[in-house]
Amino acid sequence: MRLYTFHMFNARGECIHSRTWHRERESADENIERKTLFGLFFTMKDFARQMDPRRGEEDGGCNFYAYATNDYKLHYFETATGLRMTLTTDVNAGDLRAVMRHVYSNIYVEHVVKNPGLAPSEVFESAAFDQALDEYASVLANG
Amino acid sequence: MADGRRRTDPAIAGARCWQGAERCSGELFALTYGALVRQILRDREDDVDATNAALERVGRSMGTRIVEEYLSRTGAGARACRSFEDACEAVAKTALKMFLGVDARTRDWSEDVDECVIEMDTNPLAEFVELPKRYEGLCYCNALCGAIRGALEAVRVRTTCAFESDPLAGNGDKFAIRIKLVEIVPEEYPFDD
Repeated sequence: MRLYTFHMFNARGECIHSRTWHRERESADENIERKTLFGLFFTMKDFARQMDPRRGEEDGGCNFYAYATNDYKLHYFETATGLRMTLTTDVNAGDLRAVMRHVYSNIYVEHVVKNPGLAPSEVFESAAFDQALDEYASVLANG
Repeated sequence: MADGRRRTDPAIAGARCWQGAERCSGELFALTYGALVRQILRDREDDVDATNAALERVGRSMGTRIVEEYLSRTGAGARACRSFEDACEAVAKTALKMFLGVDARTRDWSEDVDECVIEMDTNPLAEFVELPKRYEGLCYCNALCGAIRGALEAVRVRTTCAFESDPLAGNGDKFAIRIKLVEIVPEEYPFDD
């Protein structure tokens, strides 16, 4: 599996962290791209709910967790605190929900939330976070 | 309940997390908290009201971190704590057990389900504590109210929290927190365009 980019947003739509492993094409305007992406989260949630032929989960919510194109796949994870993470990979990647949760629980919570020098849900720079994420990414890439 | 996944009982989830968690000595914890309260009192020149407010602020910022740990350890989804009732049960049965090892429950629900009391069987923060007369009115464990408020605010449940009974203040024999719903903040697209 090939991993391309990773982004993290807070509830206010700010990109609090990002990581790029492979990117062949530069984005035209990163700010607009991030805003568009954040808009997509809201649209997709409404859309998923509107199209739901079932009654939805017991807690009344359904949401997308990935979309695939012929070229890449985008994986999405959201928490109750409004934190949102995306990961782009090649199209052959399977269901990465467990992977996204792992990144949140074992990398973000451990290295950012528990670090008293950083504020949760704010823009952060953390070498420990990047290192843990890169290590995990290389395990995924070679696994 | 819809078919498919079943929800884990909150009390069981809390006990499981408490079992699996790394722990520190209760004595160290109680004394560290005591030192914090003592220092804040000194900084505020024994102004009890200012200390209460400071403790609640300390608690709130702890709460915004603790809630992430809670969500990560319980595996709760994006719609966790979506109702006030769910949120209070999560605090009483799961979170207090998970982080403090305290058995607690909600009681005295208001008719509109916008207010209840969380009653705690024990309180490790108050271990060894006896308040001298000059600190009358000190809400020694106010960081706990702050933490609950901060954690719930992070999941968009705005509340007010205050001790309804506090044995340290000679009021009741169990710690109990009255929690009132202010509003459930709707999720909004944060940009104008």
